[in-house]
Amino acid sequence: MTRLRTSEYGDYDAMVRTLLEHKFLPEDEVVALCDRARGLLAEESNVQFVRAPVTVVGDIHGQFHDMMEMFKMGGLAPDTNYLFLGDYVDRGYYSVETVTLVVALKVRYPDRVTIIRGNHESRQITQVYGFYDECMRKYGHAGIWKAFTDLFDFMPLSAVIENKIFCPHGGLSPSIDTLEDVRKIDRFAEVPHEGPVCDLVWSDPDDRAGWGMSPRGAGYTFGEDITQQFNHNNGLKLIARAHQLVMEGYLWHHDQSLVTIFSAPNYCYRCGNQASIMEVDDNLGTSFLQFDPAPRRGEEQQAAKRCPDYFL
Amino acid sequence: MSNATSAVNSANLMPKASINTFADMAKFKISPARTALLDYIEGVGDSLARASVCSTTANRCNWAIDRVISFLCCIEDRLKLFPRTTPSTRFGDPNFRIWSQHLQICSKGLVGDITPPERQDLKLELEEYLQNSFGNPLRLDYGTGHELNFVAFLCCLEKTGIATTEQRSLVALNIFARYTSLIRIIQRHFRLEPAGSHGVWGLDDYCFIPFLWGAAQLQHETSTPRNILDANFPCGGLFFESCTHVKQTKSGPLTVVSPVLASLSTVRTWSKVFEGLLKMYCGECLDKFQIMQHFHFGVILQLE
Repeated sequence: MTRLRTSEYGDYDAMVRTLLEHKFLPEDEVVALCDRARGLLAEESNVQFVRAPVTVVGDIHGQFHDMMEMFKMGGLAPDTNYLFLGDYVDRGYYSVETVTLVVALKVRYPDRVTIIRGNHESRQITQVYGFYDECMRKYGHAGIWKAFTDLFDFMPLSAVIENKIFCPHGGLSPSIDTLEDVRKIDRFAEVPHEGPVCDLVWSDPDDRAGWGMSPRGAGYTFGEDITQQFNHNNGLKLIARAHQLVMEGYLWHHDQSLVTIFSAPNYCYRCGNQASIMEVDDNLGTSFLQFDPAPRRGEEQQAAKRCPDYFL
Repeated sequence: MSNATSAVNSANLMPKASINTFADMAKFKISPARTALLDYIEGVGDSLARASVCSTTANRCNWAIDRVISFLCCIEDRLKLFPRTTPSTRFGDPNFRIWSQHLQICSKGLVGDITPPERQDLKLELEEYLQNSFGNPLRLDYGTGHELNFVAFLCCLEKTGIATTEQRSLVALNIFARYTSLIRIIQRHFRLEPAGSHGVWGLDDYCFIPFLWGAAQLQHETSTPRNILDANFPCGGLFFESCTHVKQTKSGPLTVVSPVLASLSTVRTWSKVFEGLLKMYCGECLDKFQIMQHFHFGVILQLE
């Protein structure tokens, strides 16, 4: 049973409401949600087809309050269709709350919400960049982390809007010439260190032509020639991706054949950038809604938490 | 000695990254290098606990220590000669790579000057640690692994007799404190990415040691760890300077932008904070494969 039965809508509406109010969701409910989502995502394509109109969201990185600000501007599902480009977790303080809400919206509105995998939706990366620490601190053990990282293996690797706008988290790969190449990948595993799956979530566009070595140590950099060729071969008009902090929240590259969307304002509570989401209308026209960090009322009252075990 | 032999010898002296698998960490755990580094870190803490926070130690410097200080000053002065590119994307400034070449030349100069003539064989190792102390020019990032390289450099100054154990607090207050403020300027200047930071769950995006040695410094001060939550910090030392830096660079309450740092306010004494941070340093940095796979071992800091 993957899709919800009508009789289950009430329970899941209540769950979404709880999460939107930023209230605690008990562990067994989170684990059950992950199980449900796994079945749903397992049936989706590596290049999940998405209808316009849709609003495209870049990296969020656990900045829950800023995501709420984004919903205020962009509207809430199911009134607005959403395509999330990955990197829900790590770095920010509220990765658990953020990824739980995104997954709950996916399960409740499977045809209105599309979620794909970012490079941070991985066991290895989350152990270094904070999601694992957060699960341990907030739930006292790694159960929630395991449920989510098992789910991450099932997330689609990319989406395509009306067969015209290709949307991976990172970028292109020298091992991929066509969308059909992506469709053929067996994706249900941890993000590998190299190869097409790694490149889709790790690569970046570059001013230099051709393929280059990525300073990130994973994926590649690719030039305008690569982007134009890929779009031409696949009948695409645009590649929309996330993965890089851009100061205005969006940035065009490669003569407007590729755009970066970044949706975490003042990234890491430090970078001073604006965030944006991209609205794609019925005619595949694009416009950007920029937003700043949400005023975070009430956080000042948050008490200092228990020390890590090193101090006991 | 023929040229061929000399080439072979210098290849042997070249420090190597010898931790390639998780299993190699077992070797490191019992290595002379780990013992030396940990003894040094703990030893500096002990001597800082005995020194006063505001102690002026300038008159007890030796020539080599002065030379290291002037190296750091010179690096800072010349930073303005390396202009920045306009930020548009996440990555750090590629001009950092040009600056790194400049650093390499300056490092060789410094190490050449301070290494005793009879110990020229140790130069490569000292250079290795010093050059790796300022971030990675390919990845344009900086993190606790680079900081560890600077600690290794300081540790080697002692192992080679360039500095003495009596000068530990002097080295920490005059060299390490200056390094910490310089590296923050460099991070900002070239927009370096935090290397492998745990996001909000680390003490700071980039560093650890200033908190550890800073806690040692405060052991005989009137402030308590509860002061961490104060709006204005008590004057004094590496610890509160680093808290100020976190507050200045991050927006939002400390309990959210650095919850672990905020949680230290619940620890009763500074000596408990120091002990806990030392364990945390081992758990999160020194004994982490992800960090140590990049560390180079030589003849001063040996893996076996």
